[in-house]
Formats: sequence, C-alpha cells, structure tokens
Amino acid sequence: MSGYTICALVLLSALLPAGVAASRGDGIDRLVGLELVSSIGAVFMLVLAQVSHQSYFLSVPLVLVPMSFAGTLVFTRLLGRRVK
Amino acid sequence: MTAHAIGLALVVAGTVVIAIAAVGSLAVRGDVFTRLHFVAPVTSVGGPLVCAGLCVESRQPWVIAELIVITVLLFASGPVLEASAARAAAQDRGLESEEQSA
Repeated sequence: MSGYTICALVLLSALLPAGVAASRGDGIDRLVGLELVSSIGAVFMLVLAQVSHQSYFLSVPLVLVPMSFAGTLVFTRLLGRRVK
Repeated sequence: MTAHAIGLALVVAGTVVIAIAAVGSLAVRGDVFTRLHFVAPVTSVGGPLVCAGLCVESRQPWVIAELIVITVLLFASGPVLEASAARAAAQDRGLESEEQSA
C-alpha cells in the first residue's frame, strides 16, 4: 500500500466527521458541514486520481469545486433570509 | 530528496491538516462561528498543500495545469463561502439585519 493510498484512505475517513457535522444542528450548522464535505471530497478525488493513475478523474473536482461554490452561495442566501 | 518524496511529504502534510480540521469541526458543537474556523484550513492550507504535492509528483503538463486551476478555484472560493456562511449565521441569529448587509 503506497503513501498516496494511505492519504486517500485518511481523506475518505475525514469525510465521516464532516458528514456527521453536515447532518447535525440547525440549517447553518449543516451548511458549514456541507462546505467541509465538498472541500474534503474535492481533495480526496485529487488524491484518488493520483492513486489510480487516471488523470481524467481530475475532471470531477474541476466541476465539483465551482458547483459546490454556487450551491453553497444559494444556500447561504436562502438561510440568511429565513423568516422566523 | 527525490520528487516522489517531496510530493508525498506535501500530500501527507495537507492530509494531516484536513484530518485535524474535520475532527475539530465535529468536536466543536453549538457555535457555528467557531466551527467555521475549522473549514478555512481545508481550503487555504490543506487543499493547496495536496495540490502542490501532486504537481511535484506529476510529470504531465496538462495534469499540472488542471491541478493548478482546481487549487486556485478551491483557494479563492473558500474564504468567500466562509464569509457568506458567517453572514447568514449572523442574520439567522439576529446579530446582523439584512439591511445592514445590503
């Protein structure tokens, strides 16, 4: 097992606490967890591309980062305006 | 020190930062503003470190260019998202009105 594989496994397990953070608390708390999940997921896919020696895997984080950026901005806009 | 060792060291350093940030964000409960401090290292330190390591390791120019684009996007979008999430949290908790933020 190479060092990159171990790093990929560590990043994959780091998604677990981030996913738990994304599923607890109120909307803003979960949004912060979602930010963490998308960031860690993008980095995990970068390392996964290195582990598998498939450079076209890099297209996934290339799309994921702008899409999660736009999606999170929409969520912050909606949650900030929320009427109590 | 070979390029492989340098690249692996950078990726390991970034992975450690990200793992600590993920566990730290779970350990902090209740305060969303404190939790936001654990998101910042992932996009500002961990991601760029991992990408730098992969750039050192890779020998294909196209792959390096793609990695740099991803890093720049991650690095630039992170603080914007954290600031907007903090503002939404402030509005949600009544610390800042929507008129103040406009």
